[in-house]
Amino acid sequence: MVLERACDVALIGYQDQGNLGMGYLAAVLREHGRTVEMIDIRDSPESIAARLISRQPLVVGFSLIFQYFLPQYRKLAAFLRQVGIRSHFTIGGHYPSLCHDETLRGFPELDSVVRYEGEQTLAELVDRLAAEDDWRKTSGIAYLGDGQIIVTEPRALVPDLDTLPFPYRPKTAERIGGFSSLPVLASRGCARRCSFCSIHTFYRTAPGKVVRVRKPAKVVEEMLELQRQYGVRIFLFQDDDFPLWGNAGRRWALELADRFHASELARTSVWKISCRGEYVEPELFSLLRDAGLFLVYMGIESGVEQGLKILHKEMTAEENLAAVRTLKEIGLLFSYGFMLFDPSSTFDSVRENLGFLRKIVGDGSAAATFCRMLPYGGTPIRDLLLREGRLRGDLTHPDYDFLDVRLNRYHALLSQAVQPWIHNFGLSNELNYAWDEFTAVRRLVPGITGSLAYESSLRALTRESNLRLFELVEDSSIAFEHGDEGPIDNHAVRTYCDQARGRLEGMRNQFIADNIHFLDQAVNPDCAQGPVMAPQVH
Amino acid sequence: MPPEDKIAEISPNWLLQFRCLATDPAVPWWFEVEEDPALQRQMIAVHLEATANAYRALADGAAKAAALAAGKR
Repeated sequence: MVLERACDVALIGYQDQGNLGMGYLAAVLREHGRTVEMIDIRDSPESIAARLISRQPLVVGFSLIFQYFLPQYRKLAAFLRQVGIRSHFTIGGHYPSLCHDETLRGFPELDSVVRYEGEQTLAELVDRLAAEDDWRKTSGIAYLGDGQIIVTEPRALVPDLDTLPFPYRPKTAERIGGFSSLPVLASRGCARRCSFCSIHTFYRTAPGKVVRVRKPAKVVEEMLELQRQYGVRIFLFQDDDFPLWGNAGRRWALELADRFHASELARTSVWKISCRGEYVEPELFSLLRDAGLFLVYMGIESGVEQGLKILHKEMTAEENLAAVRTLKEIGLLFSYGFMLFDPSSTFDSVRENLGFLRKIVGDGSAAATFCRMLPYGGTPIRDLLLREGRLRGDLTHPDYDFLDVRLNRYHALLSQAVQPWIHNFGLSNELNYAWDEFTAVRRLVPGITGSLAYESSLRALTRESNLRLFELVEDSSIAFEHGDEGPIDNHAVRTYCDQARGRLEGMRNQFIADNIHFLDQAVNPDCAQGPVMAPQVH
Repeated sequence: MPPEDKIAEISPNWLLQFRCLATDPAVPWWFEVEEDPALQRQMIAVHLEATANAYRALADGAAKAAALAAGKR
């Protein structure tokens, strides 16, 4: 019988887009000489149990990204205990860090919570367990002792991110089109204080500097390593807020761009960032575009001043509009986060928000998408709603009442109706995928044919889909406000979205098939064989 | 030839997968069926059976390989 390799730590979480948080934890543990297994939470409980039962790791660490998945994590933990996994169970992430008391009381299978940035804390916890030392003395954790929540001395945030090893990435890279794609981080932390976001409370509650930025040279070194190992052509910067703020941010970005040119990354890869609209200005973003930037995600969140105020965005709708205009003018693709519904919403503000969305994507430059703001743990807006007596739902599905109670019912009906657009595999997401893929192809594969025609068809379909969605929301909101509570015609919506998806797939496949030889050549030169990608000549 | 067949033949990496960069993680099957315990039990049974079959096949393969190796010696 083949004996399984021992494993000191099993980390369980989502493996989408690489899960950099788990990757950093694993890298630091490995640096401490520990063996680590990374497990996707979407594997079945039986297969996870089968992998752990014979190994009995010292620690099973759950990495929780979204608090609404807490019951499912707990269910898995209960199952693992039931089948005889005796390891120390711990959990980390924004919600467990900020709401450690709720987490520990609602999740009795846990032995501890690792709070805030977990690299050093988890390593110390594992060391103590391995040495049969008292793990309760580990800094930066919380646990239940005799029914009381015990919090140990907080651990400071990592002061210099460049002291961390590169994230451990045992999985193969994901793909966008045929191009390998992986996430990277240039910084941690956000200096802003949006009321719906737990990122700033996460970083401000722990001791240490809130925003830390890596040296451009180290970022480039990691990216080149990813090109060598995985042939990555599309990098996704997953920073909380890409560090472009002020003169220091500008200098840092210019050095990064210079290094992208010097290392050939500017020619052999494209990259996406997430940032605030206020950083977008033509000169800097044109330079970044020339260094490979192809997609800018902005958390716009609202097109209504009252909404921006309650969300504490510290930006105006006009500033966001200007950012979008600039990106369009300099030929950069954009995507955005938008909360059509927030605690200040009224029927009027919903329609005002629609007017804003029409201005930014009514031309079909990106697919329309939106959501409802939810009051997650550790956010100022959750505390505000609690004080106002409007907080509803439970720990894992926090919610609130609108001031106009009719909006509660309207929102419930509308969310069902717009699912064929706004869902993991909804039409808007698929259109945005097609835009991301097309833009990357156009940038990375010179010489492709039919790109103008495909872009034009894609834009026309995106525009049609967006306008159809806006019309649905506008018409139904007016009807509902005037007492017509009849259900929205969900069947017609599904039929349209299915038919539009068919058209999208047809045009996309035709474009790719027409260029498949070029694309095959562009992907096939194996990055593992050289220090950087060989230049593509067509 | 339909375009998707041409893609599959020449470079299947370019077959359509539709995963948006900003897409939320997909919900696993055992999350989705949480509300229906009967269906969930059936699906767990199917998974267990499939896993057992896989282990049986691996064990058979290992036994055959061991027999081959023994014969060589």
